[in-house]
Formats: sequence, C-alpha cells, structure tokens
Amino acid sequence: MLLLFSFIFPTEGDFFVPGILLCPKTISSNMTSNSNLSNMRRLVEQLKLEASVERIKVSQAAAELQQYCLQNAGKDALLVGVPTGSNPFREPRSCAVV
Amino acid sequence: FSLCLYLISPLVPEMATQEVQLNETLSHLKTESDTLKTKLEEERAKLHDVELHQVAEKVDGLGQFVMKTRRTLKGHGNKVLCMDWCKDKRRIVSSSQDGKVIVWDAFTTNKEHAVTMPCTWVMACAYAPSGCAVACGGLDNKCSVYPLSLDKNENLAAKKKSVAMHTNYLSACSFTNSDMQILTSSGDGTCALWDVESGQLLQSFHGHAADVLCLDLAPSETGNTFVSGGCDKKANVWDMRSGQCIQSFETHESDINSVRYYPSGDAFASGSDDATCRLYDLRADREVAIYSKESIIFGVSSVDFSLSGRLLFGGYNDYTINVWDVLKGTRVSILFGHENRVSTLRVSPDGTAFCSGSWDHTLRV
Repeated sequence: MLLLFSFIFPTEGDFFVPGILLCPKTISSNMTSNSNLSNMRRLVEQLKLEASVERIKVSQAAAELQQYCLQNAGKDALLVGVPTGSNPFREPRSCAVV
Repeated sequence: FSLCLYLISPLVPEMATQEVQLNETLSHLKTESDTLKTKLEEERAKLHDVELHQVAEKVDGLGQFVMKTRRTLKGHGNKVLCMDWCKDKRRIVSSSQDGKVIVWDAFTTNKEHAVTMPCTWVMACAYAPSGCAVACGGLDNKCSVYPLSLDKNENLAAKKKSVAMHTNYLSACSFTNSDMQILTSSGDGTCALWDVESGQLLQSFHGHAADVLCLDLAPSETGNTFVSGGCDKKANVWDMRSGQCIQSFETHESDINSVRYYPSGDAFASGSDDATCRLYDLRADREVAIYSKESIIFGVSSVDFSLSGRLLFGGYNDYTINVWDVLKGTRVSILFGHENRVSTLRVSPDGTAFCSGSWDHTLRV
C-alpha cells in the first residue's frame, strides 16, 4: 500500500485543494488541447504533403495550356462558329417525320 | 480524510505538467506549420518565371463575338439555381427555388419531365451520363436520384432513391463516369462519394474549414481527382480513391462559388464573390491568371470553359455574363439578357452552345 502511494505522489506535490473540483476542468481543457493537438498534427502532415508535390515551371505549364487551346480551337463552335446549316439552335426547324 | 486528498490531488500537478507539455508541443507544431506554409509559398514562387498572358502574347487576339440567345426556357416558378446538360447535347435538367426539377429539350424548349421535391431551394442537380436519371438535392440535406422514364404518366417521385445524407444543405452534386456513383458537396464542410445502388458512403473528404459550395470532376482521361471550392476561400484538389487532399489553393479573397476543370485537366478555373475568376495550373501548383476588371464589382456565381478552353464564361451577380480570353486575360464580350443574377452556367458537351440559368426564373441557351 505504501508503495502504491509513493508511486502516485510526485516529488513536489503539495496541492491540498480538493482535486475533484479541479480535475474536470483540467480534463476538459486537456481534451480540447488534445484535439487541437491532433488538428495541428493533421495540418502539419497535410502541409508536408503539399510541399512535396512535384511542380513544373509556369512558363512550361502556360505553354502547354496555350498549345491545348490552339490545337482544339478549330473544333470549338463557340469560338469559330458553325456553318449556318448545321447549327441546331439557329432557328426552330420543322422536322420532316420519315 | 487526508488519504483521499492525497489520492486525487497529486493528479492535478501531473496534469498541470502534462498540459504544459501539450502547450509546448502545440506551439512547436504551430511554428512548424508556419514554416511549412512559408516554404510552400517559396517553392511555388521559385517556379513563377512568367505570366500566362506574357506567354500568350504571340497568339492572335480573338475578334468580336456575337453570341445571341437562341432559346429561352420558361417554366420555373422561382429562381433557377442549378442546371446540367445531358450527354446527348440537347437535354437539360434544371432545379429551382420553387422545389421543382425540370428536364427540358433545349432544341424544342419542351419540358420532358418535371419532379417536385419535398424541399425548396434545390441547389444542385446533375444529369446521369446515361441520360436515364437525374440527381438533385438542396435544403433537405440529401441527394436523391430519380430515374427518368419514357412513360409520361408515370409518377417520377415514386421511384426516387435517396442516396446521400449530409448534416447540412447539399450545395453541389455530380455523377462520376458512370451512373453508379455520385460525388456530393455540402454546407457541412465535407464532400462525399456515394454508391447509388446501395446508398453507401464510399469515401468522405474532410479538409474545408467552412461550407463547400462547388465541385467539379477531372475530365476522364486524367484520372480520379476532383476539385472543390468553399466559403473558406480555398480550392482543394482531392484524390477520390484515398480521400486525401493533394493540392490546395488559397488566393481568392472571398467565397468560391464555382470551380471548373480546364478541358485538358491540367488546370481549373474558379469564380468567387470577390468578383474575380482565377485560373490555377495543377502542375505548376499555383494561380496563373486572374480575370477581373475594376468595373466589375459583383461576385461570380458560375464559370465554365468553351470546348478548346480558350474562352471562359462567367455568370455574374450583376445580371451579365462576361466572356474572357483565357490565354490573354482580357474580356472578349459581355452578354446581357437576364433580368436578375446569373446563378448557373454550363457549356454543352459538344461545345456548340452554353446555357445560363438565372434568378429571373428563366434559362437561356
């Protein structure tokens, strides 16, 4: 029994305030600190992940975007327009029912 | 009884020291996260050697554009909040504040189906790739899938399937490449991937600090990622399989209302309440262009690219649609016609037209 108590007693513990009153507060702030801690840990992990992403130069990325645009410009109806005959929205056409 | 006191009170200093330790770790982690953030910015800045419009200087400018409203779809009783095209390039589904979800034939302007949802403010709707079903949701916190039947007399509401459940309003939904899975984003700050058949949650995506307002799936060739934008001013790119956020961009000054992938999948655009649209390149991991003018002060509600990615259409809260030259960063055209703010805008799958929905109860093609 003595051993048990010596195990619990810290070396300079001389708080005689009723522990029951203090404990719940410390426990809950402990828990919020814990959740803050885990949030922060997650944030740090996420930032590490994002920092390690492989990046290319903006000039290269921009050149590739431009190339894609120019390559597909011919097919872009909103850019170059469609021949009047084939525009499905041009005018309400009457369909011949075959 | 002193024995009792001794039992309990020693725990207090123990916890006090524990708390001190925790605080130290917390501040340690905070400094680490701050250093990482600065390092991230530095790494991104290192590769920022040129602006997009500088690279595009040698490209021919675009001529004057004449885009006319070809069809006006009337029928909603209240503000149109969202719309989507069917892969057949002619059908459109739209949802409205009056709780109605209507499927239109854009060529004839006929209404093909109409469903009344049990809630008002249906903020999200999507067409299934097969064209056989539509998904919608809003203030009911759920995403429901309605199979479309050819029988006009059949009551669509009876066949409804509730797929997603969130703890706050549904802001956006989209089918993945098949009819079997739906991706949703919600005001509860999360995105989620669901299996339509079983209603099971397949993957959830946590990371936004506030409501998620929009999402867009990467074009099929480029893999399993999607981008989401939210009220925390961040646009996050996620891996659908792992649930991880792989990239994050925070340069907007206000809520991001709309995100859309560039047709090649290497970049995405976002539209925000700060009245700007921005283009972010995924491989350069940074913002590469801002589309704004001092005269534009109203927020952007919706953005979409033309087929080649050369044009960016933005629907604004000042009732107009601005058309931007993506490469040069200049405005090409302003389209007038709506009598209230433009809430949603989508280019048709084959790029021949685009549809805009507005708070003036109509849709224009």
